[in-house]
Amino acid sequence: MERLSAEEELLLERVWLGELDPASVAVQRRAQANPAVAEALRDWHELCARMEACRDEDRRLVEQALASASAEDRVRIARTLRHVPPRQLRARILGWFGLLVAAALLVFVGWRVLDDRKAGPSPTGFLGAEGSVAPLGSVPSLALFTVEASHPAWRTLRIAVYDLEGRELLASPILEEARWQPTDTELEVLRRAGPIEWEYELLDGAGAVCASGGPFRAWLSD
Amino acid sequence: MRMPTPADDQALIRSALQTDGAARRRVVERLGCIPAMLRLREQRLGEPLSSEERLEAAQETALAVWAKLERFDGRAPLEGWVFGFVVREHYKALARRRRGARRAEPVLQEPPDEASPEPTDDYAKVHRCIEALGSPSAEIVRLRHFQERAFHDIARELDLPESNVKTRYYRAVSRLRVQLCSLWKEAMG
Repeated sequence: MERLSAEEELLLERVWLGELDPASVAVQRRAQANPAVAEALRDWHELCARMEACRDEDRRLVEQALASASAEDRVRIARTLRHVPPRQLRARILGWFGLLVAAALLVFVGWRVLDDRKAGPSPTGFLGAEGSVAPLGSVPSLALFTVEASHPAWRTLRIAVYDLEGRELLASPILEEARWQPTDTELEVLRRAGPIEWEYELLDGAGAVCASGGPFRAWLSD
Repeated sequence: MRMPTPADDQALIRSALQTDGAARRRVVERLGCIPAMLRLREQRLGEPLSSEERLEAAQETALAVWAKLERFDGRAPLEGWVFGFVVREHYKALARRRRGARRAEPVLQEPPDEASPEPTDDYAKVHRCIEALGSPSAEIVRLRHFQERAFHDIARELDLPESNVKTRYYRAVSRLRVQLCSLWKEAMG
């Protein structure tokens, strides 16, 4: 038996995929030239015919099933599907649920933003340096001033506190740490002042100001 | 009474998917033929399931059909489309049984010949050989020859690229040719 060349394999593939008519001249010429091609084509026809016969038998089987389905069968299937919504409905329910969750999230985020605004001005964005600053906005005490920043690197720090008219109330000494705790006497001055504004300056080794932040407003919550 | 056409079936499915209660009930009623399809197919292939296996396979079939209702395209009657699911679930049930039998066997023994008795007629032989192709090649051949679907339709149905479907189809048919045509030639002497 002769074997199939790559070209003949390709030809048969196109016939089997329905892209080429087996009765076409090109196919018939190949079949005459190589008995292996002719045999493959005969097999293909045989296979198709037998599968067609099986398909017809399946159709008869479906008709028989329709005639012989019992009431008990129908009840059983109905029971299976009773609590299962079709996928499209399920998708719709999931969609509504997703929308609801998104809306709730939006309301929550909005509420938090409003709440933060009530608490006082945000330092975010001011010179781009502060990550966290306190006291800020309405606070229970003015006992500790802290500054956290990622840039520039800390050297020494000086903090000054003003009233709302810009008069200096207090000034810290040169600090090694980014925090300052006023003394009791100084705190008394702040308590009397009411709302305050404060700012900081970063100093380099020569004592020159290399960065600064503020003014930040703060007031006692009571 | 006029028999519903595939177009009628498609309209029915569309209504059922739009939460029309009456249409849903009608579809559920139509799916009541699944257990009968399974029984007849078992008889025809000579591979019977136990009543429990049959019940499970019928339920799985109904759920699989239900999950894919939106894919019904009205090219064939609803029951013809459902039959494709019956075939798949029947084979899955047989595979589950074989796996169960293997697990039950002592570890050191050789696995038993898991196949059912050799089929004697064409119908069973063809189906057995198609099943032996494995997934998704068996699916592709069934959709192409038993539901007369185009390759692009099959690709969409199985979520595979069309070129991949065609390659698998060609290989599958080549295997079927080797297995089945040699059998037929032997039978004809």
